[in-house]
Amino acid sequence: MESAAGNLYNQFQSLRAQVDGLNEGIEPQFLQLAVNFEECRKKWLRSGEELVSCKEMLTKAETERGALEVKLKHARNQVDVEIRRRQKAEAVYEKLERQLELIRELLVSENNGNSVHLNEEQRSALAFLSAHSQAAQAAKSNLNSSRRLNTIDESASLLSDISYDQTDDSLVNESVVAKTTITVPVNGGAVEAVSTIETVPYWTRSRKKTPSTPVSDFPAQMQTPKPKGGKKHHFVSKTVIKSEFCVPCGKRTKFGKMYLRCQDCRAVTHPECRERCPLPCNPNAFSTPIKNTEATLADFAPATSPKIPALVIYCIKEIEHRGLHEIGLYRISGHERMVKELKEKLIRGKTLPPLNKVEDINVITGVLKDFLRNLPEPLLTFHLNKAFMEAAEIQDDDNSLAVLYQTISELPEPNRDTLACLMIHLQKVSQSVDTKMDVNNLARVFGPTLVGHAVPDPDPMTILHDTNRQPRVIERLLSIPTNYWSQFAYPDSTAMDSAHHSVTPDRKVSMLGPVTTPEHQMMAKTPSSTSLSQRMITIKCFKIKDIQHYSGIERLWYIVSPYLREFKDFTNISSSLKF
Amino acid sequence: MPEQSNDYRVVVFGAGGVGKSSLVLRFVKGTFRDTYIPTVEDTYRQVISCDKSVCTLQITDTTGSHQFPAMQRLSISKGHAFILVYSITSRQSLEELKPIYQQVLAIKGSTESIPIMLVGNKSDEMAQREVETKEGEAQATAWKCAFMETSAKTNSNVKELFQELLALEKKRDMSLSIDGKRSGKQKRADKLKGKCSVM
Repeated sequence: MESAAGNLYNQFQSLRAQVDGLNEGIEPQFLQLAVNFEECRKKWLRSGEELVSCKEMLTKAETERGALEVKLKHARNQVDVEIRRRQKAEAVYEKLERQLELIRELLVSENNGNSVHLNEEQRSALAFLSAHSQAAQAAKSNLNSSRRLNTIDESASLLSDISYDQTDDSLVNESVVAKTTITVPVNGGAVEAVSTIETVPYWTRSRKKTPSTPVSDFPAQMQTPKPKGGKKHHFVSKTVIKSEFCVPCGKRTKFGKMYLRCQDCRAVTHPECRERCPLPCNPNAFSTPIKNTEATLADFAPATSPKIPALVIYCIKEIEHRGLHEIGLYRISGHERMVKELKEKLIRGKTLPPLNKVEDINVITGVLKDFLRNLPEPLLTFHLNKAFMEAAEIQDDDNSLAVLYQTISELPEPNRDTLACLMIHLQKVSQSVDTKMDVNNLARVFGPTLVGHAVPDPDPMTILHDTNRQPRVIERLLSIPTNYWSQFAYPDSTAMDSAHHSVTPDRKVSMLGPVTTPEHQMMAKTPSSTSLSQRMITIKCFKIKDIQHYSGIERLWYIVSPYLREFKDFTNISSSLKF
Repeated sequence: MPEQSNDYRVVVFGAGGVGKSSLVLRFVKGTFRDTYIPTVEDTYRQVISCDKSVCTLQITDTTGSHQFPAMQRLSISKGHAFILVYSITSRQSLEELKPIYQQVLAIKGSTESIPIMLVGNKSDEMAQREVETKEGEAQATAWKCAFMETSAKTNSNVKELFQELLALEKKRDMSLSIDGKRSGKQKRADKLKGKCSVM
């Protein structure tokens, strides 16, 4: 019993000891725990607050970003608008230049024929015309280098502020005075044209008597080269085998005699006429339409993209206009002689033959095919021929297209753009059920024409072998979506629009470039025939709002047009001009 | 390349879409397809009798959509006989044969001993006729060659055309059927049967 009591007591003791032990440490620890909890809660609270503020900041940033994006969009639009305006202005510039060229020709022939109608005053007033062509060229190179932005830096700094309108405002507040001074000396030597453009503050404009203070000088200072100046011809003497026309005197070179040929512009001259050969040497003027047997695609194409020869665009337009319901379009050939004649007219003619007068559409398709087939090098070029063939023969569609894209990108620009233009056109033809010319049929017809061979003179076996492979390439090219081609054929939609507007069938100006005939080169001499001593014509003209959009030619046009109206009264030639 | 004596090559020329392929296919396969597919170049073979033995008649169907001088010259220089096809519904297609004839003349030197057939195809399309039979005959007389109007669609004059062409060949004695009476098509069937029996 006692032992049991003792035992119980011991147990009680040990329990007590344990309870004591438990009671001892718990309070501070519990306190600590509570403190910890409190800290934790505070931290949570703080981070919760931070979160809320962060969220606020985020929304703020979002709205800011939205605002900026809107600004960016606006800015982009404005840049687009500017670019379009510039292109329009350039188109207008070119058109006017061509017209001026024609006017020049007209006036000079008029001068020679019935000089009675022209009094001295008018003559001298018009003398600058002959100076202009060279001046315009100088101006062009000037402007091209200075006027255009090479790259548009689309970084944040540019977009930080949309202040395009400010420039407009400043232009409204200032007026621009363009001055052109043309000096025509009596000996017919140096013809000088100097134009300056000044911006004048608005207040001076309102009071005309006050001397205008030039605020800034626009670059233009154009000078025609003196006879010995400018780019000189690089003459090489040769023996005449095939008779050609001497540029300065217009007479033929005689067989077996010596003649000189400029290596750059290919102008031909008698040795005795050498000094009178018109300067400066212009390598582009003579290269294409006149001697064209070896003219490559690049020679026919314009210098700016899309580099598509006008002949191609012109024919395609007409074919799309009335040919999309003809059975066997491009398959049936036109009358051989008519095809040759029309092609000749299109390439060499000063005026474009109206294609709507060509009754048989197959003659037009014939011209297009003939033009493409008879290029010295096929459209897909000799050196890429193999690459195209191999790309088209890859079984996997995606791989094949990928390789094709790569190969297309290696084409020279004129070839690539022309190909793009053709492909868009042929896709249209293939979609027109009436023609019965689906993709396969077109590919068979155009295979040899566009793909050709890898060498200029393939042997018969190669011809046979290649002929079976060529259509595959065209089929593949036609399967490429139109949008891809559009980026080359119509680099932007505005260009497409302008192409649609400017290429009208009744256009009288040769589309293969500015009209350049040997007669033009003679013109430099005409002013000298006047008995006037050195005369200065200073023409103040016009407030031109936006300098960028008007270049020298535009201003000259303003000067010429009144005179031209006078001419209209007694010349019937002017009816051939479109004003 | 040595001249293969048992190969007789006939080349068919003509503008695009006049029915060269249709004529050849009608003759070789006896069928007519109403599809519209330009030819690049196809060659068909047919066994015929020649100088009392057999030889292969090789018919080259050329392309009409584009004239490649090099290919054309090659075909002409290799060909023994020529069929110049135009469509009676298109005067233009007859015009286009003229340079081809000149080319044949230039390469072969003289067309005296060369069998040439001028063929006005699509004789079934009387309503759209542009070239009268007489004009075709007159052209054939000028070129000193034979003339025939055919229709691949209605199978009119097709076999006759090839028979006459072979008859024009004076250097060899040729006919379409090996036994003189059976046509090429029958003959082929017979040949197959013969093989079977041998086996």
